[in-house]
Amino acid sequence: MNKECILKVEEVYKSFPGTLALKGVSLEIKKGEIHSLVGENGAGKSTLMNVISGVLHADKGRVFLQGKEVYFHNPNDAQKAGIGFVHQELALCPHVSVAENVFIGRLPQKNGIIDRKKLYKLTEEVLAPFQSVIKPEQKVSELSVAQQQVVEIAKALSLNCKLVIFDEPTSSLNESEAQALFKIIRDIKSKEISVLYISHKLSEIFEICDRITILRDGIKIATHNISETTSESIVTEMVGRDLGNLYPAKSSKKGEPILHVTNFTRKNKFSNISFNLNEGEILGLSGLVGSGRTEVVRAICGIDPFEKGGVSIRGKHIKLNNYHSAIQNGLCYMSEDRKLDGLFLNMSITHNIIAILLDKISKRMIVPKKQTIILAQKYQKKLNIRYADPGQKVNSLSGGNQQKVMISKLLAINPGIIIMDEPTRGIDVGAKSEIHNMLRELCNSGIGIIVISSELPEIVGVCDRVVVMHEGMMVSELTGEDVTSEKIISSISSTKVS
Amino acid sequence: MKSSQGSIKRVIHGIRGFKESTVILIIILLCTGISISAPIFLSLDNLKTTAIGLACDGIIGIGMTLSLISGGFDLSVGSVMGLSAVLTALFAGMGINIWLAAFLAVAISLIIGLINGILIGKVGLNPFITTLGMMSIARGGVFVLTQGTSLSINNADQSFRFLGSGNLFGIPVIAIIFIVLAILGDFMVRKSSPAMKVFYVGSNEKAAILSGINTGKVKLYVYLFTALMASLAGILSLSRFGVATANMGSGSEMRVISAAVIGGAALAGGEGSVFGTVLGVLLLSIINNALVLFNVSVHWQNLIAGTILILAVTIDLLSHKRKNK
Amino acid sequence: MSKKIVSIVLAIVLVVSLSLVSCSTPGKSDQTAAQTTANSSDQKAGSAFTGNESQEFYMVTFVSGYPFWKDCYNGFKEAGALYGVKTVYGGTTEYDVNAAITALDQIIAKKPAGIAVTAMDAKAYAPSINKAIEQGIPVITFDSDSPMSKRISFIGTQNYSAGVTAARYIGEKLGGKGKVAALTTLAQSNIKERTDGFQETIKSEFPGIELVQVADAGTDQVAAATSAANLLKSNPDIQYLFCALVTASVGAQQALTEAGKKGKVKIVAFDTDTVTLDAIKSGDVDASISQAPWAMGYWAMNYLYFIKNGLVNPVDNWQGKGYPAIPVTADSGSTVVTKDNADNFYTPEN
Repeated sequence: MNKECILKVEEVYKSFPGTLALKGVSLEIKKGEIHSLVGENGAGKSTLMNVISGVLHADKGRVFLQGKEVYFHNPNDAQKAGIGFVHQELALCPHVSVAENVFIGRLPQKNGIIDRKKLYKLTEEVLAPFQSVIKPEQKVSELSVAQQQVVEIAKALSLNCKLVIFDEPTSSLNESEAQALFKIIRDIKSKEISVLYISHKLSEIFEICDRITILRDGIKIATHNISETTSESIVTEMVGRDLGNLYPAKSSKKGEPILHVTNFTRKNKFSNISFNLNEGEILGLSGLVGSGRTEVVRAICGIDPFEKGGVSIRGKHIKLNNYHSAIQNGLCYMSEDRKLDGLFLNMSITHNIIAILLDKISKRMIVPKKQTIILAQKYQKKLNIRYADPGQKVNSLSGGNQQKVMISKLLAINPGIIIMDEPTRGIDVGAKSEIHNMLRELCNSGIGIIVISSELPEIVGVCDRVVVMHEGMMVSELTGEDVTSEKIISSISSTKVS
Repeated sequence: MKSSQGSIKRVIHGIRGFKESTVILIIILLCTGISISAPIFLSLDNLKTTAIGLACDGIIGIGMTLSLISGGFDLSVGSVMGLSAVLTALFAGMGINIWLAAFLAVAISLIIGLINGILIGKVGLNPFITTLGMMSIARGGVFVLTQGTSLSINNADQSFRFLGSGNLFGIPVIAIIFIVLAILGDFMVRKSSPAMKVFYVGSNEKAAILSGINTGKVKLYVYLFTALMASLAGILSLSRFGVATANMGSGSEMRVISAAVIGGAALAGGEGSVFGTVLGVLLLSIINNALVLFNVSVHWQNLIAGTILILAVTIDLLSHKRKNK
Repeated sequence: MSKKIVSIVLAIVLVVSLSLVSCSTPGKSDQTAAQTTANSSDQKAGSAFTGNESQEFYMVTFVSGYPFWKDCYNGFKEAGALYGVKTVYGGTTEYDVNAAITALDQIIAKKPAGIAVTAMDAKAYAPSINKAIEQGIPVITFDSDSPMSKRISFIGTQNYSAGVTAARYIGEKLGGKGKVAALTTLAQSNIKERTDGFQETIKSEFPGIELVQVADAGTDQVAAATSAANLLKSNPDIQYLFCALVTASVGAQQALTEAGKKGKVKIVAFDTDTVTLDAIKSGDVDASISQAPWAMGYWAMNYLYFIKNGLVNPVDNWQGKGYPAIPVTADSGSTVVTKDNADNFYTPEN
C-alpha cells in the first residue's frame, strides 16, 4: 500500500563555512508513519531537521509538503504550514503557566484583555488526550521534565500539524515516562499525523518506528523498513565500519576489594548503602532516575553531606570532609551533566583537562604551557578526541568529544577509582563504543570503575556486577550471568510500592 | 616544510585570535583621527596629563578584572580608594609617619576586602548587593572622618609626594607605577595557577567544585586583591593632590567596569585580561580627552561619551561573536 | 572577515562623527555678533574692543550641568562677545576631583588665552593653577577660591557672609524667637562656608532661635527630599528651613508639599535659577540668597582679557615685580530676593 507522502525532501544541500553538512539528501515521510532518522554526531541530522522546520535555508534542493513545494523563511512559516517541533532542550517559558505556553502568541482576547477562562478551557481540551494531571494554570517550572515535554507536544499538536518532529525525546525521561511518551506517539500516528523521530537509542526506534533513514557524513545511506533490518546492520551503516561486538568482552576475574562502602545513609535520600568494588571488575549502579544513585556516589566522594557511613580504600579508612580529600586519595567522580558541572565550556580543551591537576602541575604557581599542551595531546591520542587545536574552546566540540575531554580531566590525575555518572549520555553510537572499550581497558589496568547508567543495555553490556537501587535503598546485587535487563527490572518492580 | 609563508600565516592567526586586537585597532584609529584634527593631542603636556589622569582608574582596573573573571564585581572600589586616602591623611595628621600611615590605611582597606570576600565567597551573598552596601558604608566612613572638609598632608614628609606628582626621566612616576603594576597583574592573570582557578570559578562554579577547587577561598582572595588595588590607587591619589577630598574616587567603579568589559571581560565571568582592561581605560580617557580638545560643549559630553561607549562595546561584541563561531 | 570590516568601518565612523560633532555643537565657541557690535557702537575705547578672535578663554567648572554655572558662563560669554574673542565652557560633568583636574590640565595643555576656574578643592587645584600661571596663562578663580595658589584674582560671593545674610533675614522675620533647621551638603567647601556663616550668626546674634538640626541634602534633589522629609518628621515645629544649595531647596519644596506643610514651614533658598524664582513668586519659597553668578563670569572675563592683552600696565612687568594692579579678591555680593524683586532676576534666554 503506497500511502500518501506528507513530506518530501529532494536533493537538499547545505553548507557552512568550512563544511558541507548536507550533500544532496532526499527523504520521504509517509502519512501516518513514524519515521526515524539516525546518524552519528556530525552526520547532518540536526541540519536536516532545521531545514525542514524552517530554521535554516537550504542552498540547493526542494521541500514538498503534501505534494506542494514550500519554502519556509522562518520557523513561523513552517509552524503555520503544519510542522510541529518538540525540542530536546524544551522551548518553554518556565515562569509562565502551561496555558500561556501552549497558546503563546495566540492568546484568546476579549476587548483587548486576555480571556483567561477561555484560555484555560482551550488548554484543557488540548491536554485531554494525554490523560495527564497537568493543570492549565500551573507554572511550567513546577512540572517534571516529562510533564513539560507533554506540554510541548500538546502545543505542537494544538497547531494542527501534519508532521511532528521529536528530537531525542527520551534523553531526560525514565522508563515509565518513556513508555507513556510512546503511547502518545502511537496515538498521534492513529490520527494519521506523521512523526519524524530522532534518537540515538536504537532499542526505542525498534520499538515504535515504522521506517528508518540513516545519514552519514551528510549523505543518506539508506532507508529501511524496521521489520526488515537489525540494529547491528544499522550501526554498521551509521558508522561505516563493522563495530564488531557492541560491547567489549567482560572479565571474570575477581580481585581484592579496592573500595569498601558501608552503611551510607542520608535522611530522605538513601539509607544503608553498602557495597564493594573489586579490582579488575566494572561495577554498575542501576536503577530508575531518582533512585538516589547520584546522591550516594556524591556523598561517598565527599561532595554532598551524609549522616552515616564509612569509606575505605584498599583497606585504609578514609575521612571525607570534602571532595578535595577524596581526590587526594585517588577517588574521583565524573558528573552526569557535562554542561552543567562537568566542563568549563568557554575555556580551552587544555584548560579543561588540567583543571583538577592544576596545583600538581604548576611550578612555583606558574602554569607551564608546554607541559599542559603535551598532556592534552597525550589524551587526544589515547581517547581519540577530534579537535583542530588544543586551544579550541570546548563548546565548539561535538557531544562525544566533550565527554572525552571530561574523561581526560579525570584521567589526568591518575586516579585509583573513577565513578562515572551516565558516561555516554547524549553521544552517538561510535563514540559510545569507544568509551566502553576505554572503560574496560582502564579497568584491566588496575583502576577501579563504577558506572551509573539509566540505559539498561549499557549496564548489562558493560558491567561485570550490578548493584540495583530503588527509592534510596539497595534492592539487589547481581553477578555474572544474572546481569540481565529482565533480572534488573524485576528486582525494581518486585519492591515497587504502588 | 614550514616556509616563511607559513610563519606569516601563524602571526596573522595569532593577531586575529588576539582578543584585544579590535580594541587596539579602535584606539589606533581614534588617536590617528584626533591627532590630525587636533595636533595638540600629541603634545607632551597633553599626553602626560592624560596618562596621569587614567593611572588610578587603571590600577583599580587591575583588581576589578579579577573580580569580573570570578563571575562577580566590586562596586566598593571607589569608596575604598577614598577611604584609603582619607585614613592616610588622617593618621599623618595625627603625627604618624606618612609611610606608616599609608601602610595602616592599606591594612584597613584589606579588612574591607576581607569582609566582601567572606560575605560573597563563604556566606554566598550576591556580589552586587554586598559591594554596593560596602560602597555606602565606606563612603559614609569617609564623610564621618572628614566632616566634609578635605584633609591635607602638608605637614608630612614630602618625599611621599614623589609617588604621585614626581617625574622620572620626564615620565610621571604615577604612570610608571601603574604600568609596572599592570604588567605584573597581566602576567599573573595570564600565567599563574591561583589566577587560573579564578577563571574556573567564573566559568562554571559547579564544575570548579567538582574539580576540587575551594571556590570560597578563591573568591575571598579575589576581593582582598581588588580592595588592595583600590587602596593603592587612593594612596597614589593622595600623593598626587596632597589632599584627601571626601568624594575622591566616586564614580570610578562604573568607569572601571565599563573599561574592563570593553577590554574583553565578560560580566558573566570566566573571561578577561588585565591588558584588555588597561586598553579599555585608555580608550575611555582618550575619548574624554578628545571631547575637551574639540571644545565639545560640556553639556554634550555625557551623551557623546555614552554613545561612543555603546559603539565600542558593540564592535567588540561583534568581533567576539565571530570568533566563537 | 566581513565582521572585521564592519568593525573597522564603525571605528572610522566613530572618529569622523567626533570631529563632525565638534563642528556642530553650540558650545564650541561663542562669537555672537561680535564684529558687528564692535564695529558699530563701541568704538570709543579704540582697539580694546576689536579683540583678536583667535584668543580662546575658558571657563572651567565641575558638575557642569549645575544651572548656577550657566549663569556664570552667560556673564563670561557676554564679556567675551564685547571683545570679539572666543569663549569656551569646559570642565567635567562629574563630582570627582580627578576628573575635574584632568579636564583642567588638558585645557591648560591647549595653551588658552586665559582661564576662569572654580576650585572644587582649594588645595588640590593649586598645582594645576600654578602650572598655568608659570606658563603665562592668566588664571582667575570664581565662586570657589584656591587662595594658596598663584591665581591672579578671585571673584565670588563670600559664602560665609551670604550665610550671615540668610541668618539675619530669618532672624528678623522671626523676631528673634523660634526654631529653624538647615539642609546642606557635606562635601563642598563653599557650601560649608555658607552653612557655617548661617550657624554661627544664629548662635551669636539670635540666641532665642534654636537651630535644631543641620542635615545632609545628599547628591541630588531626590535624596534631598528624603532628607527634608525625615527632618520634618523629627522636628515638626520648625518655622524656617535654610537650604544652602539649589538641590536642597528643590527637594525640600517637594517634601513640604508631600508632608502637607507648605506655607507652614518657610524655605530660604540659595541662588536664582528659574525654578527657585518661580517658587518665590508662587510662594513655595519665601526668599533666596542670590549670589552674583553673572557678575562673577562677566568680571572674570574682563580681568582675563585685560591681563592677557597687556591693557593693565602700571609699570613694566607689574606681575613679576608684585606691583598691585588688580584687586586680589572681590566680593560679588549677595542679595535677598523676595517676591517683591524676584522678577528682576530672571536671566534672559540666550
